[in-house]
This record gives sequence, structure tokens and C-alpha cells, in this order.
Amino acid sequence: MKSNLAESPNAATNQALEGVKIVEFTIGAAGAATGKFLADHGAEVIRVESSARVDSCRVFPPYKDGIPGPDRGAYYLNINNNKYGIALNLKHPKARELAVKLITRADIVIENFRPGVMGKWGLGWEQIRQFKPDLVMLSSSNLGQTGPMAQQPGFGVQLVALAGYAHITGWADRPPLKPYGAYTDWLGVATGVIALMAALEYRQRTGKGQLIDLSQYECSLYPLFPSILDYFVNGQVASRAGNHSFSAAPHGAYRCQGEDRWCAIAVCDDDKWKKFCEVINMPALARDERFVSPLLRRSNSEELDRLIEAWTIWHSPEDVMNLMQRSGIAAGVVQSGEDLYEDPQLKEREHLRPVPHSELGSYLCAAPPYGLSRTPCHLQHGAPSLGEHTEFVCTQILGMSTDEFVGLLGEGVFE
Amino acid sequence: MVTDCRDNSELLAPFRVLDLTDEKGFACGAVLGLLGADVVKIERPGGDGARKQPPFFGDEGHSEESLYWSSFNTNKRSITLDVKKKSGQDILRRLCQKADILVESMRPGLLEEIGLGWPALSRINPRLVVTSITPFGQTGPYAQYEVTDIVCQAMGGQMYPCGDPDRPPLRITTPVAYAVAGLYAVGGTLIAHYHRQLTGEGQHVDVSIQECICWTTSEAAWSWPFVGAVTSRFGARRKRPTGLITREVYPCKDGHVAFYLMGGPQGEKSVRALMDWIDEEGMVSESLRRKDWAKFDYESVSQDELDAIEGVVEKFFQKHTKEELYQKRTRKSIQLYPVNTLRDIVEDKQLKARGFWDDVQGSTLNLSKLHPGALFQASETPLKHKRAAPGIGEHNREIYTELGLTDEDLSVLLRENVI
Repeated sequence: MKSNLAESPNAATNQALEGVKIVEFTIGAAGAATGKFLADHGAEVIRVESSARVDSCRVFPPYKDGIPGPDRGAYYLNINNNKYGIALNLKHPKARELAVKLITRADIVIENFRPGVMGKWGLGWEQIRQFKPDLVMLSSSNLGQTGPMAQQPGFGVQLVALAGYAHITGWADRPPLKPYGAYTDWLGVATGVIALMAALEYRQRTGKGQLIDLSQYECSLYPLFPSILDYFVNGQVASRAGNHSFSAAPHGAYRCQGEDRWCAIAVCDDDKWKKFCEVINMPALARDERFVSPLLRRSNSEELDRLIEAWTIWHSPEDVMNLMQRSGIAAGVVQSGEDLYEDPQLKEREHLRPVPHSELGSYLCAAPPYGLSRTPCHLQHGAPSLGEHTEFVCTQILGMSTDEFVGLLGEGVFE
Repeated sequence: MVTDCRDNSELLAPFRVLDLTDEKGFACGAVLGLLGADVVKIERPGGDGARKQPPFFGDEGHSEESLYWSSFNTNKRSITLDVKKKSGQDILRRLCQKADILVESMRPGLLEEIGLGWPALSRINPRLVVTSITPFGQTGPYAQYEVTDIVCQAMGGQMYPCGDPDRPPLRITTPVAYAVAGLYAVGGTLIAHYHRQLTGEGQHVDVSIQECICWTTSEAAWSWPFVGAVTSRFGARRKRPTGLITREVYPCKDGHVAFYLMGGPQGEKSVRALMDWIDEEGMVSESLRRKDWAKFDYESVSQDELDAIEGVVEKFFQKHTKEELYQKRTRKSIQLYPVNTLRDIVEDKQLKARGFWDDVQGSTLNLSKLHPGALFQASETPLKHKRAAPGIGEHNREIYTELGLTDEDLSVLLRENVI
């Protein structure tokens, strides 16, 4: 129970969100990662967990060195750094009292349980606003807090299907696939940060808090906006078509030298096409009548792709990318997890940064995808173990006496 | 903190955004506009190149009828301005004096070359937040590299684990990388915006589209330093760390559904409800009926057993439609979603019940009631589309007059092809 942190995990100065206080009741990725982006920029985030309901992210592989453990999973560790962890058994009335105290001193609550669960603990929006009317509360869920399907359970890996992404991923002659991972969660995270920052600034200006009801289904439709209009206006239902593009050719992932290695290439106009033919040492191809226009290149793409792969197969994907880019042609390695780790660009940008951690010593943690010039993010400490800061939060932040803390401990409040 | 008595009817109502982006950054300004900011889209004379990007209204590529352009330029006003010309730069400087946020997506270094880089803009208006959305960010060896959607998806790690093992890695067929990055960019912008509102200090927000895509790739992008293994593509199945192959998408009577068989605390209730339902239709064997789903997990089940159970599930799904499987689930708590087409989504009762589809005034395409609505529901400050995407330079007179330019000034600028 003793904290190995002498001070705040966010002690750096000049942070954009210094002084902002957040209490997080989350499970899985969408809520927790939203809190992480704010913690990276200096907000104090207190993460409430319970051993009675272990966060699914804690038991999601891959684990460090392949050894399972609630503090070893890459997923959990990447989205919970810079936070305090407190264990509270919210079914215990005294745990609820402590939650109320934490919320009372907070600016923001983030939760992503099924609609209604917070209410059962007496911590729903209608209950919270009685004692904390100026709170900004983010309730992030699959389908929203209202509506006939609001109570439906499910994971992001399935929600991508509901939100249309499976139908538009895959080959035209085969069943639908899905983009990798819990894609909709990541759109929910991006949107959660937007909603919280806008609502927090609004509160600063007006004194008014509010409830943000975020449906990951709804916000995930935003990137599909043009296709939705295309259906409304033209009756076109977007469907999967492999790596086909409706404007560029050549366009796709081309097999390169090595085991399962590929380079994505997109040739967008006739000028680039001529340059492309020079890069692959086939200048005569530029005059080949089968490929002289974008339309012809698209309709003869199978033939064209074979010709291109006969060249790419002799080169590493890095060489293909660099040779293409030297001539101004859009190309990029189809990067695996290992490629991302070795990527000189991501290294230079310090996308993965070492953070100290109580069990692992340290690990590499992903930074937000944006750099702020005057108030850069600071990834200072790894994700907390379950209840790692319970005593610290109770005695140092809530000002509880040690006797009182030990008493509550004995009553099972911190389980 | 100065008390602000300006318009507080919407989240960002008092703020002015200048939008200098091309397609890589459109969504950022569009979302700021949806949140209530006054967003001024600055197009080159003749209009944005992406106004010629598919899909189009009808079959032809009429210059003002790109649905792509319209989608991500709603809630903006449009002016034309050639920022490569000296007089255009002067006007941009004047616009920056009164702006809160500038969003741009030019090749790194280009704004510096014309004297409008972050340091120069900061001298003009120290409160200004400048957000740059570029493929790889402002720094690093790939900063000048060219991209399209597929290159961003590839470099961000999203393609490698997506697709069938016997074919090349795949992107999502519909280009979404720029819009996804646009959403992340709004978050970074608003963190800087919050800091500026408290301290008066603006700053430069450097967004990397590649890094945004890395976030969507999540654990497949983070796994190497943890286990020294990569996540490979496995079609509509997933290969677990133990080597077990589990199914994620199943065919049904009229399409496909997403479901995966899972026991333990997270999946027990769902799989038991499904098995009861299958049992009602007489398709469950005695051994399957007796199965303890609380103890079922991927570590202990053999591939043969899993394949057999998934086979039963598949047979059952094939007897039912998406709608039946999804709606029955309402009372059965089965963790299952249909593979929706956009037509299904437009008809979806849940979205309709929540009033998701929004009415947009003044659309040139007569698209009222057709826009996807709020990104989220905010109880105090509901989000609403205020205007359809503008015509080229539709607001030139309005905005340049606000800036103090006379009709005479405007005709000179027009003659010199600056606006």
C-alpha cells in the first residue's frame, strides 16, 4: 500500500494543464486514454479502481517479456502513465464518501462504464451535480447515454463493425475485415480530449459545468462524412475495394525484399507517373499506351502492379520509400511494430519515451501525437499499480489522518 | 483572468480561427467551427485544390461540388487570398492580429520562407495559437516526405496487421487518415488554447499525422519493446499470443456480424446468452450445453475445440439476419454488432432516437437534414452545424470589410489576383 512516489507524478512546471484536477472511473481504453493525454500535459489525474472489477486493459496482452501480470500489459501501461492510482470498493458507503470528496475538489470526471453504472454508485451526473454543479463530466460509451440501444454491451473491436469500418475494409471479392484494433476507441479518445478541453475553457469563462455524452459510435462516423454524403446525394454505398484508389494509380502496398515486407506507393498524376517510371528504371513504361492516363492505369492496375512488384521485390521497403521520395512520389514502408520501434522519424520525435515504473523499472510509453512549443508534455511516471497511491491520495491529498486511513483499510474500503 | 462578456452561447463562440489548410488539415477547422468558433477558410484565388476531390455531387467534377471538400469545410466562411504575394501576406498579418488560432498544413518550412512562420506570427500576436498539421511533424528525417492517405496508414502501422495473410496488407478503402489526425489536432489545439486563455501566451502546436495513426494502431505499435514480436495480419481472425486463432467476423443470413467467443468475467454472460438462444433452436450438443463459460479462456482451450464451437456459432448466425441477431441481443446481452453498411447506419434507430442527423442551413447542395451531427452531446452548449460549406471567396466582402478594407482596396486586390 505504501507509495513509492514522494511527490506528484506531475511535478514538472510550465505545463498547460497544471492545476487541473481530474478523477477517472474508467475501464478499457476510451476513457483512460483520454485522461492520459491530459495527464501528459500536467493535469492531476486520480484513477479510481477496484480489485473487485479489474480493468480489462490490465489483463490484455502483450505483457512485458511475455509474463502475464496486471502491471505488465503494453495496453494498460501506455494509457495510464502520469496518473495516481487509488483503490476504492464503491459498493462500500465510505468508499462512496471518499469518491464524493475527490469529485468535490476536481474540475473533471471521466467515466466510461455502461450507462447507469455510475448512478448505481450514487455518482451519476444527476447525483453529482447536486453537490458539484460546476463539474465537467465526460461519460464516454459505445452508443451514448440515451436511445433504445444505449444499454448494449460490447467492445471497441466490435463497435468498428457497427460504425461501418468493417464493411469498407477488405477485398471486394472477400468478406469484410476490420481495421486493426479497437479503432473506434481511438476516435472516442480524440473526441474526448476535444470535448473536455472545450468544456473546461467554457467553464473558466462562464462558471458553468456540464455533462458530455460521448457516443463512440457517433464520433467515429465523422471521418466517413464524405461517404455518408455520397450515399445521401448519389445513393452510393461505400464498400471495400482492397487498396484501390478512385483517383491514384499506381496505388497500393507492393511486396519488397525480405520476409513479409511491403511499401505503400501512391502516384497521383501524370507528372508523378513519368517520374515514377524513371525511378523504377523503366522510362519506356511512361509511353506505354496501356498506362498513359490515370483512368487507364486504374483499369489496367493488375498488370501494372505486377510490373511494379517485379522491381520492388529486389529492394528493401526503406529503399523503395527513399528512392520514391527523392523524386517527390508519395511512398512509405508498411511498418510493423518492429519497424515503428526502429523508425528514425519516430525516434527523432521521441514518440516512445522511457518512464520509471514500480514493477518494471522503466518502460517505453507513447507520447501524444502533437508537440506544444511552450508547454511540452512530460511523461514522468509509469502507470500505477492497483491502489499504488491509495494512502498518498487519502493522507496527502484528502488530508486524512493515518489512524482514520488504517481504520478504513480494515473495513475493506480500499479493495 | 479577464471576465469575458462576449457570446457564450456555444463552446467556442467568442473565438476566431484562420484556416490555411489543405485536405490534410480541413477537419481540424471544421470541428472548431462545429464547436462554435468563427472559422475563416483561406483559399487561394480560384479555390482550394481539394474542391476537385471525389466523391462529387452527381457524376461530374463540378468545381464547387466536391462532397469531400463540403464535408470538411462546413461551419466555415471562405475568403480567397494569395499568401505567396507580398500584399496577400500583409493582409494575412492583419487577420492574425485579431485571430485566436491559425491552423495550417503546409510543407514544414514553407511559412517561414514567406516570413509567416511561428516566430514571426507570434511577434504580430503573442496570444496566437498556431497549429501545424503535417505528415510527419515539423522535424525529423521524413519531415519533407510526400504522403497520401495510404502512405500515412502504412507509416503509422495501421496496415501491417490488417488484411488476409495471402494478400498484401490493407488500408481502410475509404481515406480517413487526415480526418482522424484532424480530430487529434483539435485536442492539441484546445490544450494550447486553454493555456493561452489562462496566461495570454500563445504557442505552436506541431501535429504529426503519422503519430496520430500510430495511436489508432495501439498495442500493435507498442508491442515490440515489450515482447520483441510483431502482430501480423490474420484476416477476420486474430492470432493470440499463445498462437490460438480466434474468429472476429462471421457471415450471417444477409451479411456479416462481429462477435468473438469469450469466457471469464468479461464474456461469460454474453456467450451463455448466445448458447441458450442456440439451444432454443436445438443446435447445441450435450457437452456444449454443460460447458462452464466462467472457466473458458484462450489459454486453456484447444484450437480444435474452439474451431468446433465457432462452427456451431457460425451455423446459427447463418440462419438469422443482422437485424434479428442485433435486436434479439437487446434482451439477451450478447456482445455482438452487425457489420453495418452506410445505408444501415443512416437507417439506424439508435442514431435517429438521439437526433444524430443534423439540419444544415444554406447548403448549396440542398443537403439539409443530411449531415452527420454533433461529435458529442454537451448538456449546456449543444453542438449544431451552423452553415454549409461556403462557395469560393463567398465571404470576401464581409470579412475584408471588417478588416477595414474599402471597396476600392478590394477591386485593386482582385485585379492583382491577390483575392
